[in-house]
Amino acid sequence: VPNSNGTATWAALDRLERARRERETRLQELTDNELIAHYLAATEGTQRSVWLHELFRRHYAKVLTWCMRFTGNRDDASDLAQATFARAQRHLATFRGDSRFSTWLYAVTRSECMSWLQARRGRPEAVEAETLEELPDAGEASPELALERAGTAKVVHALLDEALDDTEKQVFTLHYGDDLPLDVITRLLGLTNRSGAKGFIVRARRKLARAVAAWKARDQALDA
Amino acid sequence: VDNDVFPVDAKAIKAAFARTPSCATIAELDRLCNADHAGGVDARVALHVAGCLRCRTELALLKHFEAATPHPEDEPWLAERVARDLPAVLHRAAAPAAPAPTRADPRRRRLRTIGAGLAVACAALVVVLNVREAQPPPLATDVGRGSAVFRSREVTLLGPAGDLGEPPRELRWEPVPGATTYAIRVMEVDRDELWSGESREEAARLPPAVRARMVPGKSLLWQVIATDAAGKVIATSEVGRFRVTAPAQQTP
Repeated sequence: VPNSNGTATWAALDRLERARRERETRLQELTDNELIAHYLAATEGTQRSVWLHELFRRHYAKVLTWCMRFTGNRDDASDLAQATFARAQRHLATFRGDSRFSTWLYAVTRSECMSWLQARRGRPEAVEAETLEELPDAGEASPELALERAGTAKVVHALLDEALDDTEKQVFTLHYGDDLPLDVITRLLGLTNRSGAKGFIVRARRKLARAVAAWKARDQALDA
Repeated sequence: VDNDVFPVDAKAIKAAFARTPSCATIAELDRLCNADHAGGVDARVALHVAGCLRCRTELALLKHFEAATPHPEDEPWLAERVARDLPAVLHRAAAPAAPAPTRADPRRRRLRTIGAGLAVACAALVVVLNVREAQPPPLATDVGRGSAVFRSREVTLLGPAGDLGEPPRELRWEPVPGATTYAIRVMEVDRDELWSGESREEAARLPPAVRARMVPGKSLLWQVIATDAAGKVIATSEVGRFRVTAPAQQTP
């Protein structure tokens, strides 16, 4: 049986534990924005880390899951999630609260992921792993060609919107607009078909080719 | 697809997807994503997004991010990484001069993993102490009394831990220099006491009557306090946890 000192100590430990649980419960009741406000207002390091821990704890798994989809491997995903939260912490004072914190964090995550991709492209061993569906390149634009291209872009946008289904549009935009590799797109959009994003790209290009041909035929008919 | 017959060149495609000044900001996309947002959705923005491939794709990605659920086989890894990496991130946040994590370099990964393990262990300790002891003003409770004494040193628990085939016969921990007596307590998860005792050694035998009360499937907690010859508390342990998975057997 514990002596009187031991009994007093157990009681004090129980008080500590109850207080810890209370603190956790109260932290969990706060909104993200309230946690950020407390974090920014706190001046002492240990106090600040309590708010930040709860804020980041809520979103860590989501960011890590996203990074896992983006990179396709656990080690890079883990590095990327850490870099994302380090950046989020550094720029937290710029969060104005005009969106949800998770949306702001998404923007940070996306930016980190794109930087990671850029860096990876600079490494020779990464080139073969990426699947890029090339489009014909007409080279640098003369002023006339640039003007024509701007007009063509509008037409292409309209034709894409008209001819493709939603998933094809998303795959097309991410691949040709953001230069995302097809395997990344497959994972980000959770595509479960056998060929993943590549299948959507091939189908979309065929549809677009047909749509452009039909548009040109209509255009020529109107000219005539 | 034969590129030679494809009628649109890469730059025209790029231009078709380029952001325009009318494109929605991330905050505007957020409002479209979240109907409950106090700001509501601007009609001009909604109209633009409806006709913009770039904005619609961004919106779709944002929704994928918000709804991201891990693959079931990744869940244990995910939980382990959150527990491991989050303290490391907070540790770095507390020390702004520290460099950001280096990017993936396969040749250095092994060394870094070992180093990170040590750093994470230190960081985890720092965070545990911070979470336990920090008292943010609006949440302040009476936790301050005596905490400095309890956290002076740690008693390291050796076992039991985790799932056990039968109720443990004894509890063991590492010796604490200067300790003459150890107070031990076994609790249920709501911290109701199941048994408490004292020992002058780094182990305590559990009475058969106590072992018989260790119901299979029910988690139990235990903790140790070390006191010196003057009866002063010099170290406490973290709370250990174990669970008996098989029915209790009568043993001599």
